[in-house]
Amino acid sequence: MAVASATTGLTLPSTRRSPLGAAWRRYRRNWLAVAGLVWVAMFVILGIIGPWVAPSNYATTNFLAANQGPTWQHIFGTDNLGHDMFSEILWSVQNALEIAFGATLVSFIVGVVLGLWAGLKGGTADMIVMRLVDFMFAFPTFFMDLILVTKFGRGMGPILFAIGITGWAGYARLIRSLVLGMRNGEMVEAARALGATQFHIMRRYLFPNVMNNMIVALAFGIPGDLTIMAGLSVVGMGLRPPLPSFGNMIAAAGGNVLGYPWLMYFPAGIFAVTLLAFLFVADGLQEALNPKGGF
Amino acid sequence: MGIVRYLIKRLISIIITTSAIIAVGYTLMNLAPGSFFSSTSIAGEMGQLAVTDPKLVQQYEHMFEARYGLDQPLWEQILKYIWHSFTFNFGNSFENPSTPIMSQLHTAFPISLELALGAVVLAIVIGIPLGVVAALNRNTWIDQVLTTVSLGGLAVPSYVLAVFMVLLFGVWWQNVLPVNGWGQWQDAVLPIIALGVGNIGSITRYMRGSLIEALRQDHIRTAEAKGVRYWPIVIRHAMRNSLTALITVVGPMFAFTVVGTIFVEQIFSIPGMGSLMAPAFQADDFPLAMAEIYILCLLVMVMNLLVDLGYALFDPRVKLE
Repeated sequence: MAVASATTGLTLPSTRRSPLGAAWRRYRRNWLAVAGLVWVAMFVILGIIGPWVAPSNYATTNFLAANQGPTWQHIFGTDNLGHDMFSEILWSVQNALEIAFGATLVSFIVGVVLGLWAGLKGGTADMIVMRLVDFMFAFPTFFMDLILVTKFGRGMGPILFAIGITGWAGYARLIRSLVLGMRNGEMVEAARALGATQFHIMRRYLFPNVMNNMIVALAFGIPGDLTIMAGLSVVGMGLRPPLPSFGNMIAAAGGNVLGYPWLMYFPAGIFAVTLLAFLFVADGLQEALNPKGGF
Repeated sequence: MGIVRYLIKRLISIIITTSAIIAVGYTLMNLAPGSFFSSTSIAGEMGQLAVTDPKLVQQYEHMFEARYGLDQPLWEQILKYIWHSFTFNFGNSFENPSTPIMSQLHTAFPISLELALGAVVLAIVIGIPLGVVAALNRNTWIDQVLTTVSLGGLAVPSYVLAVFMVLLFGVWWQNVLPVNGWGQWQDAVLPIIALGVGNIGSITRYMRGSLIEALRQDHIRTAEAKGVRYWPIVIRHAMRNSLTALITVVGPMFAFTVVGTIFVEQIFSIPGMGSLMAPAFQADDFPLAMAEIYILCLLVMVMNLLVDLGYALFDPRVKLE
């Protein structure tokens, strides 16, 4: 934090350095991470206002204007049903963000609860949770997503739930190992020797340490869930049309790319850049919050 | 622990895990709404028939359930399925009642395996040199370009790459490489690249990190002090350690790649496991879907076992446990 001195007009480095400020300075040095953050922020804003600024509803079709290339009226062109691709993309952003953030949050909550339980309780609880984690890691959870989505439908809720409920194992394992490492660490031992209560130790020592790692894990989790969500569409089990999603557009474009390539440029391009942006942000956060490495 | 005891332990854990996957999957597929009869592939015909002759439809459903053993209690079905899965006897699918599932998978599985193995091998062959170059030029522009590009490769999923490749080789550079079908060796090139790019990214990043770490070790400094030349240090003293540990990255990569084959096969119209799986799920044809999942999960687990064995073989410090 820089403090401007009133008398000299010079900028002096503050004597008090907050850890967040230091992290932000480290983050700013990575220009790709900053660019990623700008794109993600734009994406989130578009996700919120998208449905209002979209020229038409996602379900609006116009057969007279089907399969048109980009024009001033339809700047991203139209698909085989005459959907305005620009509107489709604006609506998709919202769906993608809702599912990605929602599913990551579900995974996170389940993972934190199970991981804390295993790490703090130990014994049987630890064994049960770790066997479950081993089970989830033994096979690709995408198959479980497929089964869940087949059974519970291809709406927003079921897909969010399916991706969320199968993605918790990594968070649980991370939290557990952090808790175990901290519990037996010197810092906590010293605090306990000084008479700190369990709650105080958790709030002042456990939580800040775990938090940095969790933020990084969450940042990596969101693009992962976006990838799974679109992957479901590629196998034909994504959001049921006419609900728009990037996966649906990419899958449809894959079949039409020879005749109507513009159907692919914008959805696939924006999706790829978005995943990149999220990953650059996650990478930047990792460097900023865990300069020593870890996770 | 002896290798035989270790193998037995791992095989038992594979059996337990696959059985659990079957039990969970089977229960889910049976439990919730939706069945083969309400799926699109058959609902149209059955719906018409239900109006004109509801009794016949009921009879048909009973026969269907009896034929596939769906009239038995769920736990019995599951136990039977697990038992038969040991001998890879998955019966017939709902969609193709006359062909056994195994004969369908028999042609599809080698194709998917070839793609997955090809992608992993490609990643190892390209990823290791890239990682070494990045590590030796650490914090220069070469390193920055390589780490950024490999992060990009990790970020962009195989299906997006595949779609771009179809555009590139199907529209712009026609007749260079085929973008559709299966039969000649050229057909495998683009799918393997689409699958491999992400893996190249993760191997490059891993190799860079572990080599930088290895070059910081004390024995490297000792070797330098003794006057060992640059390349022998890098290759013999530093890279050996990172190469053996690389095996631990390849294991999880396999799971990721096997899922990737499903997407890539869809886009390049390759008759592998993925092209069977998508319609199976869409039609609620769960015998076929379950068998596919079982085989692919088994493949991932066997590959992980081989990876662990290889790790212990190459690195004498690793104990099999």
